[in-house]
Order: sequence, then structure tokens, then C-alpha cells
Amino acid sequence: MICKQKNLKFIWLVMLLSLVGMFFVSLYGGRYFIPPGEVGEILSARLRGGAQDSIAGSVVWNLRLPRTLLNVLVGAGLAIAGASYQGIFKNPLVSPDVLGVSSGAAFGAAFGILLSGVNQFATVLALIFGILSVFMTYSLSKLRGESSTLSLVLSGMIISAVFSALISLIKYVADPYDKLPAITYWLMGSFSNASYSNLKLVGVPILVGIVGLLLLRWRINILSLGDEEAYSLGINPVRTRLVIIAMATFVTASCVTVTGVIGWVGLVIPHICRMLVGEDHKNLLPASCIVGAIFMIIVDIIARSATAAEIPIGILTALVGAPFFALLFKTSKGDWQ
Amino acid sequence: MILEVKHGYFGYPKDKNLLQDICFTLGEKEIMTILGQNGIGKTTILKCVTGILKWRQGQTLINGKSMDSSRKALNQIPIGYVPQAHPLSFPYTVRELVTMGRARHIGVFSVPSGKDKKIADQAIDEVGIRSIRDKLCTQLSGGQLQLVFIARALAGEPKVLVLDEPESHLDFRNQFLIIKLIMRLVRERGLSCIINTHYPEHALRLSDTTLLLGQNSYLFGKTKEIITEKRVEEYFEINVKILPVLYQGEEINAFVVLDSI
Amino acid sequence: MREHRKKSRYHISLLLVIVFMLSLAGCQSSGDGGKPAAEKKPETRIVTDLVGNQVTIKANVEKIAVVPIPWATIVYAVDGSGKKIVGMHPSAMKAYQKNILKVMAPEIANANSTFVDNNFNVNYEEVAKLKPDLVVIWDYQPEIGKKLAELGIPSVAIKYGTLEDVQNGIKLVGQILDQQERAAALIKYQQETNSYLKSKESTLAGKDKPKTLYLRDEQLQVATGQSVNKIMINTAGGVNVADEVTGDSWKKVTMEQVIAWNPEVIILSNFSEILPEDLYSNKFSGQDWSKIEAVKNKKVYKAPMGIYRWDAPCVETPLMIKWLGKVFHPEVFTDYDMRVDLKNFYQTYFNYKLTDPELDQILSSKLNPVLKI
Repeated sequence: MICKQKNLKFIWLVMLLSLVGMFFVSLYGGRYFIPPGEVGEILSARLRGGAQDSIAGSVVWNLRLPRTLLNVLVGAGLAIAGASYQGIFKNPLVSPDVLGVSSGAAFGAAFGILLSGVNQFATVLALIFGILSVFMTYSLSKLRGESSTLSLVLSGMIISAVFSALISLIKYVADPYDKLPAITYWLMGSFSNASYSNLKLVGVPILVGIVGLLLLRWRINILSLGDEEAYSLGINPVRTRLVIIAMATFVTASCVTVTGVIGWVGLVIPHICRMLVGEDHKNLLPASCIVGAIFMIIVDIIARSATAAEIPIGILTALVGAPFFALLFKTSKGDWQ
Repeated sequence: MILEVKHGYFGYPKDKNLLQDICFTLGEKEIMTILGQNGIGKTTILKCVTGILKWRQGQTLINGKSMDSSRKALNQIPIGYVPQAHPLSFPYTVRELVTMGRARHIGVFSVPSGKDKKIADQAIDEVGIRSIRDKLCTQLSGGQLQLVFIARALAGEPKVLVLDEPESHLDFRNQFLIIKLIMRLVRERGLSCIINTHYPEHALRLSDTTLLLGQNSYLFGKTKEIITEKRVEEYFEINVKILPVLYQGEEINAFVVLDSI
Repeated sequence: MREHRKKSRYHISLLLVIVFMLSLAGCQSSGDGGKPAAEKKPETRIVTDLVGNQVTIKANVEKIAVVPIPWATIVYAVDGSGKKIVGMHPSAMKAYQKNILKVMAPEIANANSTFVDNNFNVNYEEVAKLKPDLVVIWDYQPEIGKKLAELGIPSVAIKYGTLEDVQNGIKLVGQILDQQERAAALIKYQQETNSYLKSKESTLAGKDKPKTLYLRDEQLQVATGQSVNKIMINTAGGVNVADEVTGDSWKKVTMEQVIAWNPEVIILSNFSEILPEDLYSNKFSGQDWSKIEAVKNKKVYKAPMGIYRWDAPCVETPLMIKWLGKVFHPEVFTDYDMRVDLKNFYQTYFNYKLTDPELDQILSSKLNPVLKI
């Protein structure tokens, strides 16, 4: 795949325009029909300072706008975390859950819901356990001596397995009439809790994490060569890797906290972006943000509008992501070792 | 004298010392070759010299100053490390990979500037791989990849170039071209070189000094004095004959193994 | 040396085989329970359960274990007492502890709720300990029926779904407990209610059907077009806004979809602690109820709960439909006095005199002040 300069500029333009385009499509579409002209009026009226008291205004400003913003944050966050992890673990098959953050956050949320129903408590618990699980993974890997990437991945598998088992236990003891369905829905992922208060809660950590990863994006190239070569090029890979893991964990834990477990985004989007902009993480990470956001908006539009009942988004991303991944394997056979 | 190793000892964790009391010096525009049997520690010694591994005892001195363990000193006198050509996990283009050689000169939160890209391109031209500049590294031959690694090391504007068996996996024409390139870089850029090699004839042709590693001892000195039939028999346990060949005014040495098959 | 090792390996294998066989024999003997060879066979009768199985049970059933959640209360209703219920589902036990049945039938408090878990998995050793004369299971659990039969415990399968299924189930329980008269009375009450409601049909036909949303919980799970609640709503002269949703009785929808439906009446189930006040004050983040008709006109009502939740099909379902009738069309049902009917129902079928505060509790009167029911 040869990416000439001109091609690249064009691709960036298309990506950015698509993002803006899809953003507005998301505001204009939904189960509650609002004529496009009216949506435009609502948007401009609010910007001019007028208050909107109509149902349509409420739907656009209080339901669709925060939800779409959350789509962008979570889509970008999961994708860039996935791309970063794939780079530092030198493995294109790695996803943001590799160190256990999703299992940990899922456990925290399930535990919180079990104790007190779906509310802030469960959210906070999810965030705490998400970060805690990566911390546990890191500590466990250090028991083997220097935390090489292999020992990190293995430790991540162990911690994930432990939390998954605990989640099963919680589902087992939860009341099948109220707590269990709430937990199950949460685990399948959903943007239905999107609100401005949620955005305030996780918006900052996600943005901080994304910015941090973007600043370090070129260094990931060096890390992807392996520790020895990184040292020889004058970089301390252990320290850099630690910072990247911390940022990516922050981002992923925040995402999982507010939307539940949404898989496949962090795994597949970086691959799509590799086909578009190449392997250089200087381009790959920003591209992942944009394409991840576009993807999440599209999938969520389907999840909340295709049928009257909401389709759990984790199911949709799997249905779209898995075959796409298989297709990728088929067409790019030879580029990875 | 630009680089010196003083009484260096090294062993892998839980192993006894592999390298003992290593001492050698490297001057400006000097080429030093390292020879020895497989497993004797040739790659290890390179890693210790470049700071990838830490000496158990002893130190590396750069321009008289000790290279401290934080590896920051690597940036004082840039050492360009050229590993053996190996397959990469990710399909970077040649240009992207060579640009990574600029890592030392690029801030933690920065990306390569226009100047960095220019220097990388110059390195690519110097090594002669401009035609494959936009190809993916996963689609290159062993020889081409080796050249890319050399270009990457050059992009870091090193004073010392350290190469680990650069002629391995190459046909003998490419082997010669690599040797020729190294010679040219030393002359034109004023670099010093440390090269691991399995080929005594390359050492004889190319280097000024040689480090000959053995099980419990080693030799260091002028190449012509170190690589002799007697020494080779001692350190490689094999009988050879060194035959000088005169061609166009230059004396080139050929190696012939005498032991019967 | 080799010979010696071979020999000891042989000895050990032999030992293992002997131990294995002994343990097998042990299992067998413990299964027998040491009963005498010949015993007086008790009288039996044969009933046909709701999937068509012919089941042989004791003529005199004293101990019943009930797996399906609402059915413990149905057994209570048919029998007039809870003393024969030795086991019930843990969720049913939770509901029991929260409602009036606790007062009416304190004997149920001792029922075992560990023989079956939250996911309807049966712990066979617990069942064996309980030694029930009969177990009631769901129609989709035939393997459980088979396993129980191996233990010598008969089981009858019942179906969940339509009101007809409930009636057939009541009849079956009546046969089992030799309470056919009580069962018939309960069914008659249902049929009387049906005729009463039929008599109102023509009047209701001319009326506007209020668009109703039956909300299960704050997760936005609603009663779908496949639910029994839809039938309840239709019969009472309303229409279920979520009719287009299929796939299960309860399904989760988005807030935007609810806004698009814009229901005029909202009924809150007793499967969750949700209250009308929660919707009026927009308590749930990510949801905006303020523009919905039902919320603007304060027509959000908490469903009643008697001996069981009226949101699910049970013996009190006729009362639920009549309650809905009063909610939707009070002017059509002026001749119907809910409180009097409820009092009579409990007196006739449960032999229990409801006090006014208890009536309030069942009908959630304080939460639905507008209704004046």
C-alpha cells in the first residue's frame, strides 16, 4: 500500500468531512421524526441564545446532542487506545481489554448495580475497578522480573479471567427480575445513559487521555521495534510504555464506565486506518480517533433507530466488526509477520 | 581516542561472567572488527558497548567521560546501532523506519520536523536505497533491509557506528557491497566503526583493529597482528591458510580451510 | 528393578479397581434409603398437565414445591392456605416478604427457597431433602421433570403467557389438591369479569383509547405487543403504545422512542421500586420525561400489588383489568366499586378481611391520589 503525500491529504479531508457529516446526520435522525428544516432552526436558535421548550428541541438538545458527543468521545477513545496498545505490544491482534480494564470495570459496575441499582455508585465503582485491574495486572507482571510485554499480556489474561469469573458469580446471585437484566444490559453496552452530567464526568479524563496518547504517538513507532532497538535509538521504552498504558487505561476505563463494554472498536478501527494512512503511528493514532468516532456514530444511529426496541450496541459492533476483521485478514495477508 | 572500554565484565543474570576484563580503545575514523566462535559473546559485547546492557563491572568511556547507567550519555556521542536484518512486526515504509533513527533528536511529545525528514532522506540517498524509499519493509529482501537499518542508524547523525554481523544472510556480492559502503561512510563521514563479523577476510580487508574473543581469554590489537594462521587455529580450533592475492596494486587476503572433510 | 515396579503398578491398579467398585456399590445402597421391600402403596390419581403429560400423583398431596415465580400464590389461592407450599422460588419469596400475603399467610415464611436458584436451576439434593409430593415446573423444563421422576418425585408443567393458560393452570392445581370447587370458583370469577368487561365493550368502542405505556423499570423496559399486559390494556379500553415491539414480553427502548410515542397514561410496574414522583421530577439522568403527555397531566400510576404483582398473570388479573378500566374510563365504570370488589374477593377466596389501610397499600392509593380508587 503506497501512500503518497497527495493521497494522504485527500484521505484526511474525506475523513474529517465524514465525521462532521455523520455528526449532523445523528442530530437529524432518530425514532422521533423531526423535519430537517426544524432541526436546523432548533440548532441555530439555541446558538443565538433562545431557549427551546418544545419536544423537538428537547429531543435534539437533551437526547441526541449529548448522545452523539458521547459517541465521538467513546469511539475515538477506544480506537486510539487500541491502536496504542497494538503498537506497544507489537501485536496487531491486541485490543484495549488486553490488560483487563474492561473486565475490571464491568465487575465494578455489576457489583455496584447488585448493591444499589443503576446509579452514580455503580459508575464510580466501575471506574475504580477498571483502573485497579490494570494496576493489578502490572503488579502481577512485575513478579516475573522486568515487566516485558509478554508478561504483561499474560498477567492481563489472568486478571481478566478472575474478574470475568466474579462477574459470572454476581450474575448468578442477582435477582432475575430487576438486578440481573440491568447488569446484563450494562454488559452488552449502551449509550442510553448519555447526558450532560455523564459527559462532564468522563469527558475530561477521556480527552486528557486522548491528547496524551496523541502527543506520544511518534514514540510508539520506536516502541513497536522492540525494547533493545528502542534503547539503541536512545529511548527508555519501559518508562514510555508505562505512560502510554496509563493514558490508554484512563481512556478505556472512562469509556467502559459510562457505556458498558463495547468490543471490537479498539481492535478493528486501527486496522481500517492502517489501510487508509499506513503504519506510521504519527498518522495512525489521529486517524483512529476520527474513524473510531465516525464508526461509533453510525453504529449508535442503528442501535437506537433501527427498531423500536434498542439494540445493545456491543452486539452490533460484534456483528459488524467480526466479519470485517475476517475480511481484513483475507485481503492483507502478508503485511504482518 | 573516541571510545574506550575499561575492564568490562558481563554475564547474564544467574550466569557466571561471559565477558571478562574486556579492554579496548577505538579512535576516530577507526574500524574495529570483533571475531569469535558462535555463542562467545560477540553480540553481547556490542550491547554492552552501546548501553543496551549494563556492564557488571567496568565501564565504557566516551571521549574520556563515563557512560552512566541512565543511558543519557548515549546522546552525548551518538552511537548508531545497526542490528542484524530481521523481519518486522509492522509494515512501516522505508522512509518511516529510517526517520525513526532521528528519535534521539526529537522531543518526547514531538513528531519529526521538516529538518528530521530531510536528514532521513539524505541517509537514504547515502546508502543508495532511494528507489525503494516508499516500499514496505515487510516486502524487502534481506540485503535491502540491512541497508535500511544502516540508513536508520545514519539518520541519527552518529559518531560511532556499531554493526552486528551486517553481512549475514547476504549473497557474496551483497556482502562485498556492504563492506564497500561501510568503508565509504568511514572515509566520507569520518565515522568510527565496530563490526561483528564471521568473516576473517572481511576483517583483514576492512579493519584497523580486531578484538578476538575466546572462551576465557581474548586478544586485542592491530588486525594484521591478530588475525594470523596461528591465532585462528588457537581461537577457532581449525587449520587455515591465509593466501595473499595481488590485484591492481592491492594485497587482498584469501582464507582457505585446510582440515580434511 | 523393572519387574518390581511392574508388579507394584499392577497391585495399585487392582486396589483402585476394588475401591472403585466398592464406591459404586455404596452409591447404590445409599440410593435405596433403606426402605422395607414391600410397602403399602398409597392411593394415587392421574392428572394431565398443561403440556399434555399424564402424571401420577398421590391422592393426598401435602407438600408442593413451586418453581415458577407467580405460581406459589396461585397454589395458595386455590388451596386457601399456604401450608402445603414447602418450596418456592427465591424471587417469589422476596415479593412475598414485601406484600400483604406475608400477613395473610404467615405459614409460607418457612418455605424453602434454596431448592431452586435465580436462574430456575433445580438443586436435586435439596429437593430430595424436602421430599415434596409434587413439583410444579415450567413447560420448557422437561429435563428437570425427567430427573425428578428418577428421584421418584412427580412434576407437572405449566405454561406462562395468556390468561387462558392461567385458567387452565388453576384448574390443574384444583385437581391436584382436590380443591376443584375453589378452583372453579376462581375461574368463574375470571369468567364473570370477562362477561362484565364484554358488556362494556360497545360503550368502550365509541370512546377514545388512551395511549398507554406500561413501564417496568428505570432501564426503560416496557411491556411489548407480545405481553399479557397488552391484552389487559386492550380489554380495559386502552391501547399499548409499544405494540410494535416484539421478541419478548418486556423489552428495553430508548427515551427518544418513548417521546415519539408520547403516551397519555403511564403504568409503573412492581418489578422495580420506581415511583410516579421519579418521572415527575426527571430523576433519571439521560431521560427527559417532562414533555410527555402523561407526565404533563400527572397521569403516571403505580400498579397495584396484592398477594402477587398485578403486572404478571395471576389470580388477581381480573382485578387488574378492572382497575385499568377505572384508570382509562372512569365514566364508563361508574358502577364498579374497586374497593368493595377487592374486599369481597379477599373475603370470598382467601377468607381474609381487608382493612382500609390494607386496601390503600394494595391499590397504592397514596401514590395515585388522582385516581380516587
